[in-house]
Amino acid sequence: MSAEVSLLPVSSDPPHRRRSFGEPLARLVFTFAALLVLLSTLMVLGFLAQRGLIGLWAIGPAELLLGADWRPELGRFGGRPLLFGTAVSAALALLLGGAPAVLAAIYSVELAPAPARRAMERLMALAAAVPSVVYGWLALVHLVPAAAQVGGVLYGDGAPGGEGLAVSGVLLGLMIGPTVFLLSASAFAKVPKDLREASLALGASPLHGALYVVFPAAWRGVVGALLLGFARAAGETMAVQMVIGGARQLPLHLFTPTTTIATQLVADMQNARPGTLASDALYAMALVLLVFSALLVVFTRRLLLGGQK
Amino acid sequence: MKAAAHPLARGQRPGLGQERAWHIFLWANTFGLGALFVVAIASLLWKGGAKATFLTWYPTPLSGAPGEQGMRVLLGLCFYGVLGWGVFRLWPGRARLSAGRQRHLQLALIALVVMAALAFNDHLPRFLLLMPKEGSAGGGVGPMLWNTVTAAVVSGLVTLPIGVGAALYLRYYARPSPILSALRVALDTLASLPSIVYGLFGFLIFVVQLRAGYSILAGALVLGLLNLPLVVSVSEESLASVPRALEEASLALGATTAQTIFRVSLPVAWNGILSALVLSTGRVFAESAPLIMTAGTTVSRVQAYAWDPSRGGATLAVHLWYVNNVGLSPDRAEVSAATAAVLVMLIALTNTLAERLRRR
Amino acid sequence: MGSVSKLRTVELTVRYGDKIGVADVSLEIPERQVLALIGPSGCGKSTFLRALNRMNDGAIGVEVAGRVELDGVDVYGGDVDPVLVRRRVGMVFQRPNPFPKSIYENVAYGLRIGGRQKRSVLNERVEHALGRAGLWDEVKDRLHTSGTDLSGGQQQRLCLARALAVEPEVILMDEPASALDPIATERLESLIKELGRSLTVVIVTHNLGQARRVSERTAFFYLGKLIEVAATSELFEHPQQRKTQAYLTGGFG
Ligand SMILES: Nc1ncnc2c1ncn2[C@@H]1O[C@H](COP(=O)(O)OP(=O)(O)OP(=O)(O)O)[C@@H](O)[C@H]1O
Ligand SMILES: [Mg+2]
Repeated sequence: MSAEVSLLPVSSDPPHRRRSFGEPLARLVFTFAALLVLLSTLMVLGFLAQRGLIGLWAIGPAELLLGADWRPELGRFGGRPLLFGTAVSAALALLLGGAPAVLAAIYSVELAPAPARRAMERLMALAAAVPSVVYGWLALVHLVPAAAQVGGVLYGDGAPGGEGLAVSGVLLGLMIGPTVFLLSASAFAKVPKDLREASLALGASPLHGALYVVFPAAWRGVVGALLLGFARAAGETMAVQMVIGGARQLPLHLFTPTTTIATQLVADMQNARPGTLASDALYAMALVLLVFSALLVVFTRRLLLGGQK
Repeated sequence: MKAAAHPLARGQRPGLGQERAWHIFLWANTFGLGALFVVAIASLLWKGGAKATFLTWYPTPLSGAPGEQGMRVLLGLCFYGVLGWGVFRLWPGRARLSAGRQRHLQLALIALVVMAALAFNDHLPRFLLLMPKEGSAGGGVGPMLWNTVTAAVVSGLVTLPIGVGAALYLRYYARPSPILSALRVALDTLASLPSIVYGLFGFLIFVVQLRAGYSILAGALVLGLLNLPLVVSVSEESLASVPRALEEASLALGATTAQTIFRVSLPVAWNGILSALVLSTGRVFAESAPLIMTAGTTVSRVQAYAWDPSRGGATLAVHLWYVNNVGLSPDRAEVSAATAAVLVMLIALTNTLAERLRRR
Repeated sequence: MGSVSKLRTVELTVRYGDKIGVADVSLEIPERQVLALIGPSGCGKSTFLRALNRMNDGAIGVEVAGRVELDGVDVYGGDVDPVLVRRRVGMVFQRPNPFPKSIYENVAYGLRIGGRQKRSVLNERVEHALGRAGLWDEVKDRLHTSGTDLSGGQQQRLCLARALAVEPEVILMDEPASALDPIATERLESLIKELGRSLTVVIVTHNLGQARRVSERTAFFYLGKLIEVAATSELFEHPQQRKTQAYLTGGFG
């Protein structure tokens, strides 16, 4: 290669003059930027872990995770209602939004005509970017009254406002639907064309190939999409806060107001005096959410989605 | 239809009924999901969009907040700019013009837009200019719009250099080392955290530890942090798509790595990096929880249109939450619809822009 | 020479948008024979082959004109179910493409399409198909390991077994040996010859020796057109067309 280089025209000013300090400086600046990323991550984790561990230590993990009574102002720090609300609403979201989204993805990628697929992908990309408060507001205006009626029919006076896990589940389902759709559609699209053709050539219909070849071949991507959807639903805050009712209690049924970790964090944090146990308990709860999301997402990305490079 | 005339005719395959049922089920499921979002977004734009963006034919009274005049001109530029651009794009005669003519036309259009913004800024949509009202109807989102812009600019200023710098380090300077793997884990972790966790972190640092109160600066810094993994990964991807041959040609000419980065790699990867910036701006528009915890939910009358980013203030998304959960205004349904419509329009804009930049 | 035509194309033309892949080809494909398609790269062999069992149906911009008759029925007729066509006309591809499933499931895949089957029937037919593809002895002890763990030649025979399991009347092969080493190729060739006794085989190949060894008839394609078709020995020894001559003597391609 060097022999070729000498034949090429050389620019007027000699390269070694320009080289003098630019290179080390650039290396320094870029390395600094990278270190800054590392440092800020450590700061986020460090600060939250410090306060959170203080809270965890004072309350005890058993009480924090299993106790049924969450009333920080009275010194009761039982996190079960929060954990329960979070888990159930996210699970409902997977069922109501995740599953249809996966089916819609396989239909769009495998069976629908190309323009329909493109339109669907565009729409879902937009829907995934719509702010969560907008969904929260729509749910507040349209879903909560509807749920109040349904709950009234099912439970009579036991379901006064319609707020609760049912609406939160539907809302979160709608919110994670587009994300799950996009991720699983890209998993389906990655299945090699060879396999589809092999299935067709055996006299299988496109539908059969989609269900029995493409789907199994892409299962890692689909599970990954669902897990990321679950993590997102579990961490969603303001939209859920608008429709879940904010009652710090274990719900009797799907139409009873209850709460989630994230919701309770915003609701209580503004009132908790810094440095008190009430405030540290919230950081401990945040730590639970943080550890859960980080483990779930990092596991999903590394193992199921093959690392994002 | 007649009975099968030959052995290849349709309708004689076993399991056909089941297959049809599956098709109908999958179609209905897909169509239903799509239709749900189309209806939701379209009705939102229809109901709230009209209120938010229709011009007033009479001059809008100034609310007296300092800086409002500047906001009017800025908004006028955006408003007439989008209008002019749309007309220009949709005008069918455009394709027949030569490139030079098109350029002239564009310049004329820009001049026209500036003039319109100056001349008609009193007739802009009321909703986008007025101060919010707490107890009575007819409030607008002027300051929230300005706060949103401030937060987007500040967080972009933070996130772009750090994100691109880190991406450059990862692509051109990193050697396999414990630091490198720690950095990867850090990026994955940052990307995985729910936004409320960022909010708590910002609250703990800025409000509790530094006792700085609520400020847009704090909110923007937190959002900048939240956007870092996105900016790093998209930048790294677009840097990775720069043809290796180009970079090698530059290195072979005796350029250093840094020179190659600035003269070859960055210019080629620039569109992709910009798309990352645009996407993260979209997230600043959309986020609410971290901002509620760091920038507050209200606007001050005196500092409504100030430049100072250390003022506290709600963005559009936060305002949408606020009017429904805390605020007392009697027309909250209309205000919410209009705010939501503006938000969705902004998001649609950033999405399309990012998509275009990525395509290029 | 075979008596009846199993497949017949009449003025078959395939376009990719403005580009012509196969131009006006009329060809008889007799029953229980091996027909080889030869020709330089890009002359439309694959396109022709894939037109025979409607493999290009879903593809955008692919247009087919003319007729392809399977036992006298036009497979492009308005009321024809392409899935039924492909069930009778199977295909083996250039790159071995086993499903990421077990060997057993690979072969059973086609058998399960019509609905659930009895386990014993399934076992028997899987064994039979693997036997016909000459793979049974090598894999009978590890039927439930992944099909993608086999060697390239074994994978290709697995794909053949998979195609044979549904008992097609015609098998189309697009350069089935191009990814295989010489020994695997030899095994595949003897299998193809064997198959030619019981069913109709159309094979695309770049290896002229292979065409000579396995086929009874050979067709030469050039720039999308069928230039010449004749009994293999006839075509190789006394080509009638100048282009065929030039190709066979290595003049181009
Ligand atoms: N999907 C497609 N879109 C557009 N043109 C195509 C497509 N597939 C094939 N062609 C064109 O049609 C012509 C015939 O292609 P075909 O693949 O049938 O050739 P071939 O004889 O099989 O070549 P090879 O021996 O290299 O496999 C070629 O010119 C090719 O470029
Ligand atoms: Mg070919």
